[in-house]
Amino acid sequence: MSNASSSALSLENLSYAYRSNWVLKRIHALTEVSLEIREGEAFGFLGHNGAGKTTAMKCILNLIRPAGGKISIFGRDSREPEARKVVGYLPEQPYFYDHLNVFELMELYAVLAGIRRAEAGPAIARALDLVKVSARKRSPMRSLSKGLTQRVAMAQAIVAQPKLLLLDEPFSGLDPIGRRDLRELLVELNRNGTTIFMSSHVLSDVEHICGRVSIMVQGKIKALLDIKELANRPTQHFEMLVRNYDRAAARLKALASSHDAGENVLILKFEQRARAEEALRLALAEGASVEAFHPADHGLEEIFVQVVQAGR
Amino acid sequence: MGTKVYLIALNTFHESVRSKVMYSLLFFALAMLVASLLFGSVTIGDRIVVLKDFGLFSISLFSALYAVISGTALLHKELSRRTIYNILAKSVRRWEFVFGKYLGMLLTTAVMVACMCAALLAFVYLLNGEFSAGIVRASLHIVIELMVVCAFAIFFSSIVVTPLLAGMLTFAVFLAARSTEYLMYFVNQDGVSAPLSAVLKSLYALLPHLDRVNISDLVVYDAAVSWSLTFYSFAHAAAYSGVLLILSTWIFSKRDFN
Repeated sequence: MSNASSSALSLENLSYAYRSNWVLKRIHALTEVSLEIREGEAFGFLGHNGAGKTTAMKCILNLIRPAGGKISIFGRDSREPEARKVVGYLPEQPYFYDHLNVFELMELYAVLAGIRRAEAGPAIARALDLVKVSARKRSPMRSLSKGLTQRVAMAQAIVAQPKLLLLDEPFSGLDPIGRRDLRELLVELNRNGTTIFMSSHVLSDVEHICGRVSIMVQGKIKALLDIKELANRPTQHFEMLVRNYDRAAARLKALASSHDAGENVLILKFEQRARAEEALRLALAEGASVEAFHPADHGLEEIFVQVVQAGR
Repeated sequence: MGTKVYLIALNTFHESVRSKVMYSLLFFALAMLVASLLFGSVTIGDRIVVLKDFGLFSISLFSALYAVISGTALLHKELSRRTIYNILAKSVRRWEFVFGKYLGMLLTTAVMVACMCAALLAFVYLLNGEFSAGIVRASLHIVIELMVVCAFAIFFSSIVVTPLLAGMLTFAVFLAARSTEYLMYFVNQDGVSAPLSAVLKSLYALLPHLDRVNISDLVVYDAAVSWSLTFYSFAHAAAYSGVLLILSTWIFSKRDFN
């Protein structure tokens, strides 16, 4: 990730509300959302289903008009079409014109993104190469699988080499190989200076790609986290698996926050590092067989669950 | 800016010519031409007049039907299939999208008219051995008519949610616009109440006068058609379409794409 610090995308008190169909009740999809995405940063925009992630992206792209607040893309008001010239967008569940083939579709989006028609060919070839669908460039869009369509969607987003990539669930529909390819591509693009703003439910990939994440709950930003700090944070939650534990059973169970006994196996869970370490020492001293002792928190996933549950 | 309008128009054209609707209507139009040959053979009078009359009527009707069906469906498809998201997410202005769609539709219907016109010319040539320039001229006026029909299709698509309703409204306006002289005929009848007369007069003022734009009757009977009529027809259609497209763009620019 580059160290540049100027703002690539700025959301200031962004709000969006709509009226439900029948009772015309005003529903607040976004409430005073403020975020600052630095140039060259990879940012994970997380939230539960219906949290407002896609709505926020649509506001950024001027597809819907916010009720309040301000959005700037590299310092320009996002409502100006010129501001979106530097943006590549991958929508959630991308739909494309099925009467076109892959190359025709890419040509359409390349020229609309500002590439001259004469220069579109090499740009398209490069983008299709990056997502590994060059061999299918003459295939009709309607003949592509979901995974290939997703790759083409990624190709159209990067064809004009945008400075800012907005990705709404980019891993949706991809098989494990496709997921790995896309993850590597995003890391590479970010390394080369592209700012990435992505929403995803695949938290392990978000952790791998992004430097920071926000967690949105019911239209409000509830947490802003630095992935590096998260990784360096001392773990509190541990899990231990022991056999031949009879002599220490009662004391081990007393130290653990929860336990579960299987066939000749005791699984102990600890919420405090000190108690976990004490239990480990005790088990070894009493001659129990310690089969496993490992951190039990899942980093981002655990925090995500906590934040979402607390925010609802 | 122009490139984007051109590209959207070209994409709309490609989408239309690869759809089955156009070929179905072309087939029916050509079937009508063939049928007119049969009618001509059993009709008292000039067989060529019947062929031209029936042929130009078919061209006008089927091209207008196509503009109504595809015009209202195309925009609806963009919205329901969300293909519009990726277009507007680029640095494309909403007016560029509306005008691009309009020009694409117009180009498609013009190509359709050209195909049917060529078929009618060939029939007339086979029967009579003459090249009827009047048919070309009448077809040009049908395209001018279609400028307005396509603009109405876009306009109603931008304000009405269902393509069926937008299509019905567009076709209703087309029929009314082809009958504006009848409105004044009714106004001048005895016994027409003042409120009804006011409504009819308002409609006469508001509706486009496509019955004046369409010159098929004149061409069928080989009457002279001045170029000034073509010019005024074009100016009338361009002005009317322009206003409708500006209104459509304004409505479209207020729209949220949820």
